[in-house]
Amino acid sequence: MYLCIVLFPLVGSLCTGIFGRFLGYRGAAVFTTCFVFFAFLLSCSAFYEVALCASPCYIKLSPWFMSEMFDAYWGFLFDSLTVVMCVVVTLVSTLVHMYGISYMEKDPHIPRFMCYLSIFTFFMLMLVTADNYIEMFLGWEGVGLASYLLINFWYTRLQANKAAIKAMLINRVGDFGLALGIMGIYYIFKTVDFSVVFACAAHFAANPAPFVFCNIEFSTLNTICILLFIGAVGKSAQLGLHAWLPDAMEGPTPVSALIHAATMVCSGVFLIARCSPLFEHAPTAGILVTLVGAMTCLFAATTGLVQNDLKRVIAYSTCSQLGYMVLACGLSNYSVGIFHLMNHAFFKALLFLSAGSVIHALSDEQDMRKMGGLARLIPFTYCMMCIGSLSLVGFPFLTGFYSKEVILECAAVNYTVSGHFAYWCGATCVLFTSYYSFRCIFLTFSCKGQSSKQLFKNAHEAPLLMALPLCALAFGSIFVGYLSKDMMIGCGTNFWGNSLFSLPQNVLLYESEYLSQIQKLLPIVFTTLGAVLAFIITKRGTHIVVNINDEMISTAPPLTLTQSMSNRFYQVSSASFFIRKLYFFFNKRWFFDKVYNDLIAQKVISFGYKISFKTIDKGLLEVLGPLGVSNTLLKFVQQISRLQSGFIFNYALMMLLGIAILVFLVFFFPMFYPIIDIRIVFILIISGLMVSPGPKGEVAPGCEPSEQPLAST
Amino acid sequence: MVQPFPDDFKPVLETDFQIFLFENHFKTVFPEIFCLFASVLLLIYGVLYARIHQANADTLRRKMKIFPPIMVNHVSLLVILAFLLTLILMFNNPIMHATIFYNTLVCDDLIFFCKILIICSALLSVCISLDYVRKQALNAFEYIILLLLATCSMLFLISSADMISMYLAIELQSLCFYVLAAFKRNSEFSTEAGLKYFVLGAFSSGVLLFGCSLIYGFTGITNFSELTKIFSCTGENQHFTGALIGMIFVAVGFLFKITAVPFHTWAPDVYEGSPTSVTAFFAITPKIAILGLFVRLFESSFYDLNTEAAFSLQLGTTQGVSTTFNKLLSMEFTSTLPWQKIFLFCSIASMIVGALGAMNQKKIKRLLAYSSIGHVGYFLIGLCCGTVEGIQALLINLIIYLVMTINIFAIILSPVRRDFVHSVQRIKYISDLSVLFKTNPILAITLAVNFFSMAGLPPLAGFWGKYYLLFSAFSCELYLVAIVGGLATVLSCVYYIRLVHISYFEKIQNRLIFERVPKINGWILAITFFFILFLFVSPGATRRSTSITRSLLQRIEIRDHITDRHA
Repeated sequence: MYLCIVLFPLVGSLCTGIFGRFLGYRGAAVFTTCFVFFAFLLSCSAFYEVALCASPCYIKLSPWFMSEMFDAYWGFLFDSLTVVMCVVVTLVSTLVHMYGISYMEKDPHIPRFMCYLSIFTFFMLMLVTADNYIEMFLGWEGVGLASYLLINFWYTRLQANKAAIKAMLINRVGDFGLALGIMGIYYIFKTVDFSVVFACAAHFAANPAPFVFCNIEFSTLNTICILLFIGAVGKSAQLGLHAWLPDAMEGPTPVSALIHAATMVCSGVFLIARCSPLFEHAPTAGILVTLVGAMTCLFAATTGLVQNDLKRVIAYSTCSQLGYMVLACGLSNYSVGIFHLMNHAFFKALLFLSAGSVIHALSDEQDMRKMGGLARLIPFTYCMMCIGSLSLVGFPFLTGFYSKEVILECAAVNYTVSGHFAYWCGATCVLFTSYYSFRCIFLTFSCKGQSSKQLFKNAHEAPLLMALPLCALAFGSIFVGYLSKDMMIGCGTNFWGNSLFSLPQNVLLYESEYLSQIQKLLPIVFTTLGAVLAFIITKRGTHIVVNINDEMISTAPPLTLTQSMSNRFYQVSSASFFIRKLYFFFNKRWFFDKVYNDLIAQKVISFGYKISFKTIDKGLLEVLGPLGVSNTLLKFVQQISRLQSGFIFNYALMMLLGIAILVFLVFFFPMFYPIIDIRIVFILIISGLMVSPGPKGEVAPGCEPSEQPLAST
Repeated sequence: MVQPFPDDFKPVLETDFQIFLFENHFKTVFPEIFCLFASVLLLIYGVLYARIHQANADTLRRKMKIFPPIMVNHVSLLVILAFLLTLILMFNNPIMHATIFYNTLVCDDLIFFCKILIICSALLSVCISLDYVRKQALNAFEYIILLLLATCSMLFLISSADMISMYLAIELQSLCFYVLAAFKRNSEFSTEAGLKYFVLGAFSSGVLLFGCSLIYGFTGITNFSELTKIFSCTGENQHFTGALIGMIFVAVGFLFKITAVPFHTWAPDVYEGSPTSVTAFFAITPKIAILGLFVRLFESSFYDLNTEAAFSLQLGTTQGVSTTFNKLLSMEFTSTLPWQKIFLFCSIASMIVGALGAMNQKKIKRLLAYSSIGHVGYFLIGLCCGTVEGIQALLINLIIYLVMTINIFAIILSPVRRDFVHSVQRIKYISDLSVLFKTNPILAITLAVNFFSMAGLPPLAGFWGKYYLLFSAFSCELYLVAIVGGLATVLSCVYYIRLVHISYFEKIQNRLIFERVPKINGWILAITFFFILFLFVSPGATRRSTSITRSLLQRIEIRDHITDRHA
């Protein structure tokens, strides 16, 4: 049963990928959906057995790499952490499959789409069920691949190609860190098996054996954890390597929901949680994780404030929520991080699928400024979007509330600099989250319509197949937090068993119970404030932040604004210079892309072309290497074949010389040996090969190697 | 290297299994005798048949010009039959281990193995050239009988246990070869090849004979097993310096025959000049015989031949420049035995010349000549190891080389039609291969796989041969030769893969069409192709097949044991 959870999506994917043509248009979709659904059912059963009945399952299937000390098995590890992830992944995947059937109805490539979705599910399950780092790395790379394929699903679109390549490249940076981390783990622990590594972590923390690199000593566990965290940063789009996530919205909306919101981007958080025994013994890495998480949170929220693309706003919201999760993990509250991951999967999938529904209704219009007034046209989607948003902003007693509050409380009771920083970043973000969520809803649903009549006439409510997943996710967004709070992060719960590990001094959940009431209420106050602000700013129709029309258009017109767009929102030109700049700064995503392009990408490209390609590869190495060797060798060979003169007396002379050499070798070579340095002989031979014996033209025609028989001899 | 063997095992240095009854001696060499008789009878048959035919023709048409009867076909078939019967006789021979004719001939497992290889290679090279001989109007049955005779002499050569019998056998073989090389009398190339081969061959025979007489002069012995005994205690004796020179001369005489550098110079000319069918025969069969003989001569008889002069100097070397690198690479020429030095040098030189020389060639037969020179270099690696592994690797390589060479010559000997020039009916230039992929893709892929195998690309057969050889060289610490072997493989890849490139991607230059491949060539091509392609399924099979040379290997172990005791 456990293996089937992993294998079913693979079967579905392979069948659809290979026989999609025969399964047909509907068949392929139904086939994969069914397989993923079965996997979901089995996951539920596994959840019951492993998590609720507390009986973890370990499967060592077969050996994979066996090389002396190094051994990696095909092993599967089902503990509480894994089954929670399994249920989340398969559930969201099933719903997205179902949604995709209807959403992609008009697309001729639906079997390919379903195949990619299923292969993604398979790799994600590999990632979460792996029992060693190598197998996890397989899943890790696999989801990266699936993500690339799905972003690039509409491969005729240039933007999609660019976004896919960007995602791939940025993820490579993270994967590089992860691979280095795995190598470091093997170097220190001599194994890649989770159980062994985690069991030995405490020992290596007590007896540090520092890495020495460039004559500087590095703490082993901290280095390893930071490298692993770099992997997590890449995959979970944390600050620095986040740039791919908003661009990845070029893919179809179900993909955004599945990969870029609910599951794959969470794998970085999963990695940190999985390696909790390592991170617990690496305090420096923990601080770094906290800081990066907090900064991501703030950065993504501020950027999300001023985006105009519906999906991009949600994407930045994802980024910001991932920051919360990473922050929680950095503060050693892994269970809270995973709890938020699970909750986030529900409401973020709901938000994305609702957004997809809006986009579907408006014939693929994504710009919020062109929407408005949709509440009457598509009330169901409006409801869903509202539920999702309320859950996201942490409206009391909805799912998001339970996890976000706890994260903030934990940060508040961590009396360190990083803890305070994280708390204030997180608390501010609550305000921003609330603002952009409500701005989104207001702009999309309740403002006056901004687009052509035709668009609104054709607007239609989501069909049944799209509505069903929305309903399911809406229920999840409302109830999951309430239902599972005590189970997962309640005081003294033993739900997680051995799968998550926190040092006793790092457990903050008890402390947070004693937090003052004002501090506990602060997030809710911020949420309300954000909503009110959003209401005022959007409803009043007078944007404070809008005096940008001409300036924006002249600098970067096609990216965000067009001339036609500057009708209502941007007519007020009374905004102050500072606010204008701030808007510009946020809208341009803090100029991360520009900095990357100008300072890194351009430099690397020019280095790669001018120095490493032109000068070294095509210049130095080419001349010394292939070209030089082959040219001199050819000349040398021609000279050698001149020895083959065709005259018998020459041949006989060569034989005699050969005899003389042999006699010398046998009798006299040992005598000369002490004065001959073989290295010098080698150098002589090699330099003889290098120095060309003269250009080709110099060989007189008479001296050409004679291959003609000399009958006269 | 020394394997422990039971105490009750008697270390016997000379070949045992003495048979005293005279008639059993003839039984032992019955296959060879049959072979000889077959060649003589076929000669008589041919002469008589030709005569009678001529007489008939004379009486019928006195005025008309008389052509000799076309006899090559049926004589060829009869010779193939003779080979097959020899093979059967060989397998059914009741006496496998014997020293016969007063210590002049010997039979044991290694010899049996080599004999089988020789007959197989001769048989196959006759089979693939049937069509060639017919189409080329080489209308002379003597040609095929000479092949039979040469094979027979090689059988004697491999089983000879005495300098005299060895010399007689090699001379018989060489005489046959001179005639064979010059057989296409109307071709300038062929006559020149024959003449060159004859003159240089005579020279090398002189060297060989001189070496034998030196050995005899300094030891008073011509018998191999006696030589083993006398040389096994030469460590501190200076009197064998002359014998050492004799050994070098004997080695040179044979190295000439197997075209090892620097005694290879005749090979490209002769291989190119002689008829292609003869080239195929030259490229394979004599090498098996002489390498087999080398194993017996140098791995047992001359193994311990060393002089004090060389020995003392050797000790002095360790005080010289002594870096690890230096030691590793020069160990080959300082701490090895004299006979190993000879073969080491020739092996390294052959591999390098074989790789470099072939690059500049335009004619396919010359290219194959250099390729075979390179292969001889690899064989000599196995020989100069002086260990059981080395000999096994050598024998494995002989089998693989036999298969690959038969395969490539079967392709070259398959008929081709040129549009404009009607005289040339076979591939001659390398560029002729450019039509191959277009006109006969199956032949092209066979050729490509074979060349990849010769270049040593895994997992083809040639790779395994080289793998075993280099492995055995490393295991007895002959690093220099192993490294050069590896590098030479890389170099030789250049021209092998160039041929594949030409046959697949080059623009067609000659309007040249491959005709239907003759049936027998086709069968042989198919079998050898599958061997080359699928050897990797069980590369140990060849290794096991060589383990029938157990008795020889035991003897080497005993020899090692004794040498160690001496030391």
